[in-house]
Amino acid sequence: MILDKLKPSLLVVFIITLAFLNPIGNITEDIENLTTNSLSIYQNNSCNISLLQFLTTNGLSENYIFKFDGYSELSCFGKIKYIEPVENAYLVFIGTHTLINLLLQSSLWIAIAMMIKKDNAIKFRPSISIAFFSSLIFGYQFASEVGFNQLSNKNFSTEFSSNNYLLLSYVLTVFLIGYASQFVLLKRLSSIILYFPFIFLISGTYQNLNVNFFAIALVNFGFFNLLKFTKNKFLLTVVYIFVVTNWLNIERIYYEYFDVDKLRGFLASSNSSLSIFLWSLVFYFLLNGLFFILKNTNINDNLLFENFLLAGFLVVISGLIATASSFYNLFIYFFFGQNKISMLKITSVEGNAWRGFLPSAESAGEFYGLILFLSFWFFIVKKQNFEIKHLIFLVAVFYGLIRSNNVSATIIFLILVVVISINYFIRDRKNRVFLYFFLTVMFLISSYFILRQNTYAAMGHAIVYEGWENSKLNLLLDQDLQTVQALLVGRDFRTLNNLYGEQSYISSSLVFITEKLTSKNNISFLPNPVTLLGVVGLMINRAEKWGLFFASYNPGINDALFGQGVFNLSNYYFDINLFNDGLILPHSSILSYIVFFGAIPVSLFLIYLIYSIFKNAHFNNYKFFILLYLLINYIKSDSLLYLSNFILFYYFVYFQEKNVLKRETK
Amino acid sequence: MENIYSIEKICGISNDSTSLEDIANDPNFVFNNDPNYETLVLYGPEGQIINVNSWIECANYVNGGWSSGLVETVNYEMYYFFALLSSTILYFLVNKLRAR
Repeated sequence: MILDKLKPSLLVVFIITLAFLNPIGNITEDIENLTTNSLSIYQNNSCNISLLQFLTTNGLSENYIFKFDGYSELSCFGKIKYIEPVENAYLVFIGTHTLINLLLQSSLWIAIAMMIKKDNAIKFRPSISIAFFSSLIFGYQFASEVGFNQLSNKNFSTEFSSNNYLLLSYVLTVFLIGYASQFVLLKRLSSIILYFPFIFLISGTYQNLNVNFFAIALVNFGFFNLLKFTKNKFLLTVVYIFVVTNWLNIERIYYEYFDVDKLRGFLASSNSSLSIFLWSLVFYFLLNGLFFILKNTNINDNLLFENFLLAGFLVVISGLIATASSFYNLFIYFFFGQNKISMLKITSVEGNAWRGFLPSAESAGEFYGLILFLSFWFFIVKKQNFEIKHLIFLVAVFYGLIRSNNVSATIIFLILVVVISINYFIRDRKNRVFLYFFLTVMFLISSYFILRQNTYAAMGHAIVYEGWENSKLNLLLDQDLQTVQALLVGRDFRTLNNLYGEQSYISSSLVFITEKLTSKNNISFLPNPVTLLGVVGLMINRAEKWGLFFASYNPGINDALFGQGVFNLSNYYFDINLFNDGLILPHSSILSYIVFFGAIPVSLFLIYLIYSIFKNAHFNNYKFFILLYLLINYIKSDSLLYLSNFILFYYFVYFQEKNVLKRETK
Repeated sequence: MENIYSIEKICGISNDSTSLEDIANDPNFVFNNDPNYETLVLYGPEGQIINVNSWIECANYVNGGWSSGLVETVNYEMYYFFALLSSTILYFLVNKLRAR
């Protein structure tokens, strides 16, 4: 039975293996082992030696670091593109190609989706026209991301002509992916979303592309949702059109290429008008697609929980396997469509964190913490059957949480467990109240001891201080620099702002929060919002990161209020140009979404969310606790910039409503 | 080290034992025409064109990164497109016929 279900996936894995080991066009004679002397043979025979030939001659050695090179001819797929000697090792570049990647990776993921049981009744049929329109959106998006695609596609051209076979083939392939995903997923519509925890395992990001398989599928489903156009949908669409028109009319500096790094597939790599427009379209249809799927879902909390547990286990195990060799690491990256390659070492890095398989240690910790919370809820509160396999899964997930070193996720998880335990297992109300009171006092006392080395005022200045400290003050003349240092030490932000706030390298948002902090119009008996933000930032170790955010975020009034464009960080990142070392994110999903949508929409959404969370607050509603857990974590992490977390969040926001809770209990 | 595979593919097989490294180290080396060798056109990395009249001359240029051009101009993406397009059309046609 299981083998029958696995057959399509195994067949695709076999085809992919064949594609990588293909012997067509190889050197016919034997090749020498790779040494310093024979290196030039390999270098001079670019794309003439297959991976199979390389492996049979040289084996898998620690000295070989395998990497993909997508900037190759299609015929170079699965061949050794180039070998570069580095210190004590060789970098072995394996040729790949966008079109083959699209075809092979999608086939595998669609085959895996076929393992899910079909619905008894099929409500919707696949549509060729929907697949066609979706493929046009992604085709234009491919052409709009000039910088990214020029770097990774040898024959990339933005020309829409009958000779541009790369673009034509891309559109055709995306059309087929869209149609095939409709064909397979519509038959499983009522349960497909219950398998979303596996998106943490199979991220669905194509090698060499800034596109995600699940985004393609969801955009297709978005069209289905819009087939029936209600009044609410019409109103929301009109509002969204205004918002997008505003984004398109913002005067901005154009950046052709933004390195999306670990956010590949869910973040724009360019801020051209076309790119902003197409990412807006993708977001619109993606939201509709998610809504369409959730609307047609039959809730099954137990199945969802089992899937979380299994996915968590597999994520940890895959992360461990990926440390075995650079070769396994690379192919796990390909098969699972990871945004970022797994860690090659089992040892922790900066901050004693090990992210393993996932792109960020922080979101890994949140994921594992969430699974542990669900396990506590289902096994201990709801007394669901506990089997040996669950123990094995839990040990792995617990290991993942410890290694991710995500202290905040662990603390929030523990607080939720304690609060729920007190409510469920202490029958006497007086004892419960006493315990809550005792724990609150303990929390306040320990917070006092942790923070007592700072005064309230000093803590409140933390973000503004870090913002100025991280600004490009080195551009100032020596004399000015000394003045600035003296003002910073003395925390005289008002003078600092008056003297240097108008310099082009000081961001508008830093000037704004400095003015708010130092304004004479502040109401004395109310806490200053910037001060509060500083205290919170310092408590959760985000003062420096958020200071850096304000030092870099330089919007005009319009984009501060209504955003710069969905999934676009180019202007945030480059306008002030503070970052030199890789992708440094705002370290708060809320701040990132303020860059995308602006302060007003984000505030409105947060008000709605907090209202609805507390409206649905009930000790029997575990989704209430999960939303609390996620919301608190997202304040200090960038997790909502990953598609997997976006779907996770959307799922729990959608299903938290009381009517849904009633539906569930029925 | 010589790029033997590409050399044989473009220039053909020869028993000429002249070392290409020696040629590269000798700025005054003159290639002699081989009347039995059919003149070949080679293309340089920046689009330059040259006619070669002997196997060793051809081998020397190919070793330096020149190519016959034919190898490079194959448009595999075109093949991919038409193969996929015809398979897609065939699939939908067969499905339509089956439905009838």
